[in-house]
Amino acid sequence: MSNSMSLSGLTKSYQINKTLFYAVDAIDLTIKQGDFVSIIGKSGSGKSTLLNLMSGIDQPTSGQVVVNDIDISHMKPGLLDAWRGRNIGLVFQFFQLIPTLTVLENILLAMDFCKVIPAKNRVNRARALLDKVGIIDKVDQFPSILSGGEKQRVAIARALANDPPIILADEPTGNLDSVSATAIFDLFTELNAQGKTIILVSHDSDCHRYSNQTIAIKDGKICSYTKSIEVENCA
Amino acid sequence: MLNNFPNRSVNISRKRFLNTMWIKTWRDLWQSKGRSTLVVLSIALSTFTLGVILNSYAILSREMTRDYLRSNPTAISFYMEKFDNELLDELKANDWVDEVDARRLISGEIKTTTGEWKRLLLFVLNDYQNIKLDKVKSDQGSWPPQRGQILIERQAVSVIGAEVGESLQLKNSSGLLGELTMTGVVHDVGLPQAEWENIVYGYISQETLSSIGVESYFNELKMSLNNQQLSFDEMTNQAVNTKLWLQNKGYSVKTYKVAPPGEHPHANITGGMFMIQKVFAILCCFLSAVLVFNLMSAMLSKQLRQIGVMKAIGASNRQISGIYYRGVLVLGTLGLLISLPAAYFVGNRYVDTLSPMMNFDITSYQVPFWIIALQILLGIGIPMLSAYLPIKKASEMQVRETLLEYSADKQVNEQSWFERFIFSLHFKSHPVRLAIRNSLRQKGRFFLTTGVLMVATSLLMASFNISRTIKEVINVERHAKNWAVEIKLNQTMQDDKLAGLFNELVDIGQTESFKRVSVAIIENDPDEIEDNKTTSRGRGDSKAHKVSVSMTDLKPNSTMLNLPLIEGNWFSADKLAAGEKSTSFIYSAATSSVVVSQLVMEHLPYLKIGMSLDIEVLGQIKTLTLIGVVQNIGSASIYTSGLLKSSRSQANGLFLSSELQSRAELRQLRKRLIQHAEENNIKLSYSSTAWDGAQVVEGHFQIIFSLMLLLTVIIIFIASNGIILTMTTNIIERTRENGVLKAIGASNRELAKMILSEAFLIAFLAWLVACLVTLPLSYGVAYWLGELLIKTPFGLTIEPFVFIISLPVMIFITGLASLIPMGKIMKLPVREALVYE
Repeated sequence: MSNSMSLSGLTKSYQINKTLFYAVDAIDLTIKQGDFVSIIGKSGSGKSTLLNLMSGIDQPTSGQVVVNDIDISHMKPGLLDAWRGRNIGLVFQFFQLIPTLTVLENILLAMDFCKVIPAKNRVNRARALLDKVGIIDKVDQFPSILSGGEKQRVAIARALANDPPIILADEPTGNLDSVSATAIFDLFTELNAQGKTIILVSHDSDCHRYSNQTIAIKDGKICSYTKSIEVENCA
Repeated sequence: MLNNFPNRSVNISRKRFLNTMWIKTWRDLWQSKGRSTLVVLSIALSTFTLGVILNSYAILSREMTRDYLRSNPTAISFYMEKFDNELLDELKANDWVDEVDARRLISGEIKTTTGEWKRLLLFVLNDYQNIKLDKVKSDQGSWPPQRGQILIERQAVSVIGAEVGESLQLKNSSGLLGELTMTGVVHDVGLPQAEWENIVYGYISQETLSSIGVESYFNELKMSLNNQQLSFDEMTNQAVNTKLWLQNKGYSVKTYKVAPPGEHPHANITGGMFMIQKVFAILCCFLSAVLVFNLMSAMLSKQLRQIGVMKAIGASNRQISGIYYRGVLVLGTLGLLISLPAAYFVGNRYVDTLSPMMNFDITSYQVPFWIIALQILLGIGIPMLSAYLPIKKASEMQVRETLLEYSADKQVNEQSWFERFIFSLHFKSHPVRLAIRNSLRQKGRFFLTTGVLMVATSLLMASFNISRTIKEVINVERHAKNWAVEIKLNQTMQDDKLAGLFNELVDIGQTESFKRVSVAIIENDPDEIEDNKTTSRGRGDSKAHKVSVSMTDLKPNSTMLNLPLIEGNWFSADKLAAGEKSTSFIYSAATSSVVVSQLVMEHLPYLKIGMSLDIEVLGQIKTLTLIGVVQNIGSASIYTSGLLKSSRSQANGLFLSSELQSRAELRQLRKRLIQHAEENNIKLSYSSTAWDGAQVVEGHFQIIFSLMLLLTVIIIFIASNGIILTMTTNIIERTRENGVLKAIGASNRELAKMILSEAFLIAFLAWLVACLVTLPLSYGVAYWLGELLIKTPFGLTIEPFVFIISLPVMIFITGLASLIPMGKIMKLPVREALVYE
């Protein structure tokens, strides 16, 4: 299996009241294509910052993020946005759907931006994705009338719109009830089984049950890296 | 959720007509449809104003010039003693002459249907069937005028109030006396506006002239030049050469007039009106641009998170900015769809209103393509340009700046000096303090909105200041005359006898005789005068140019005139003693002094106080010292004091003062005086009341004031849109915050107090700055208007009332503009306000 993502010496620090605060502190990590990685840790541990650095949303203070042999940590912001659209699917805790677009249009928007999918195939692909995540009956609804679980399914479908090899999800179940959360985890498992690299951040320690690797973060550092292991001692 | 997109389904077919970026653009605009409508209306109003102005300007300037050129306008007119047809043939034989024509010009009076005598300018044309220059065409009735018939210029018909078929009486000092039948109406495009000038233009044949006992000859020679590419200066040189040619032939030339090439005589007035309109149109465009800027800033600040998400899923800067530029394009296009046809329709009606006033006919309403293209360009280009900065700023933001709560970029800025100043004011009310803080959160939006309202307020103030200034000019014009009525006789009379005849009449106070004659100022070479201001070349030299003016020789120490001094002194000795406007020179005696009106200075701009002037008076050349320049609306005139002392006992005019003041009373008095003169066999050539000059001023100015006020109202409307937009945006942005305030116990009344305090702060600051800005603005407009219309700046007179009243007006407007958003926030349940995103 080839390298999907490689982090080396990745650091993100802030100056707060003359004190240097490290949100991510010199992390080295390699994630292979097809891995399902869950990053866990307490609130403020640096897990979301790490995910944002991985997606290129945030810029590291030092170190580098290399995705499929491309160093995204030094990429120009304009190029990075286009690259991200094609290579990384993002799922947010608060769904971040465009409220003035219908479910179908939210999916189509991502395709229209990146132009990876031929224009004539986009509607069919969007419908197929919505079918896949189980909300084909909601295609023409606006996000405001969907439940939290439904919104997150739309967000996952949108993340898959341009068929990216990597899906990054930040607390995807943080705003959902347990039934919906389980359904979302199942969905990620299914996507992983189809070959997608899944990296998800969660404060829910149950998520390690779905992933094949679990990284526990504390004070910006990896305190544990395991394949299906108990992490209570770190948390 | 407030303003959320409606919770309903929409049917979208599998085949898409619009891509999602267009759909997002459209729905964003629809979501804020109230604000979008305001912006569309503002863009529509500004492009409509611009369109009306450009359309009417294009049509009016083209048609005015076309109609004027169709009359084959004269290039140079010579006003001469007497000549006949022989001269025309001789002059035409010269190689520089293209066409020649001749007229007889007679001044007189004509009796209106109300029995009033009005000034008459009577034209006797050489050959009505073959008019070569300044062609007059028939508009109604018979053509050409036959023996015993008179035709009236169409604009003068309302002045005289007569209809075709009526008999009209006319008279003048040269023995013209008769009753003619008005048989038709003509159109003479090059004449000044008859209603404004309060004058009647009549046309009769030479046969008619002879029949009413006046010798038939020509006194105005008209000429066009072979070379039509000459500049005004070159034409003037040609006029001087022609004058010498005429003088060598033994003809006496009083003066000449050179028409600026291709320029209609009303070009300065229309030019002035267009200038005002253009300035307002540019202001309208600027204000609507500010509105678009505010709307886009507000919309984008609300959508930052969405922009971050779109970038996170792969949108480029160009795609993001494309979404919002499309929005501006839609708003601009909608505005244009309203404004283009409306501007065309109203522009044509405006042209229909103005063209009769300017006395020319419209043959085509066709608007040049470039005007439509310019409207489209500005209607879309200005909003696009004004949206450029907010869109650029938003689209270039990085994802982390828009999505990440912990971003180090989100720093709290330090307070500016303005904020520190405002907060240093001790407001007891906490809601008011909070309102002020709220106002300053979006400084750019706050200052732009305040600026827009300030512009509107200062224009409102300026309009009323100009109105007051005009009233003051009219008042000064009225009170420059200490007489109520003046009469001018056909003959000269012993002054004591003349005064005695009118002294005993009821309502007459003092009387004072004067002598008014036509004189010529001999214009010397300005360069030579510059070298030696007190010497003059060639007294009576035939090469010298003469400027014909009316000279009024007053009695020494006359108190009948009180004309406003622009420079120097009047004849009164006490003014000199008081040092009022003293000058460095000392003039020898009042009898060798002359005061000129500002219109003389227009012809002879090099004149300076203390300079000697050669003036041809009754065949003699007198050298007089220029001691003052006065403001006198009307024709170019000069004043002397006792200059014609030897003939002092002989007067040809009389000033009569009276306790009567109103226009109607003075008109009645004038009527009685004319009747009294007729009863005593005294022929009057002219009479006027002290209000007549003011009437001319009013006619010219009323239209300009009305125009300014109309355009100011449009700008206030746009500014009000700006306030509604800002207040709505501010309130929507603070929905959640207002929910929190309600949750911790704030009543609707407290919220209303905060919102209104914010609106009133904008109104107060706008008013405060406007009070300062309006002063130079009003001064500039008054200066420019004076220069344009009477060739001397108007002194600004402030209207204090407008300064007081405009504050409550602006507070009312901003309060009214806040009502809609205020109502919305009050009705919103706390629960919904708290979850608002």
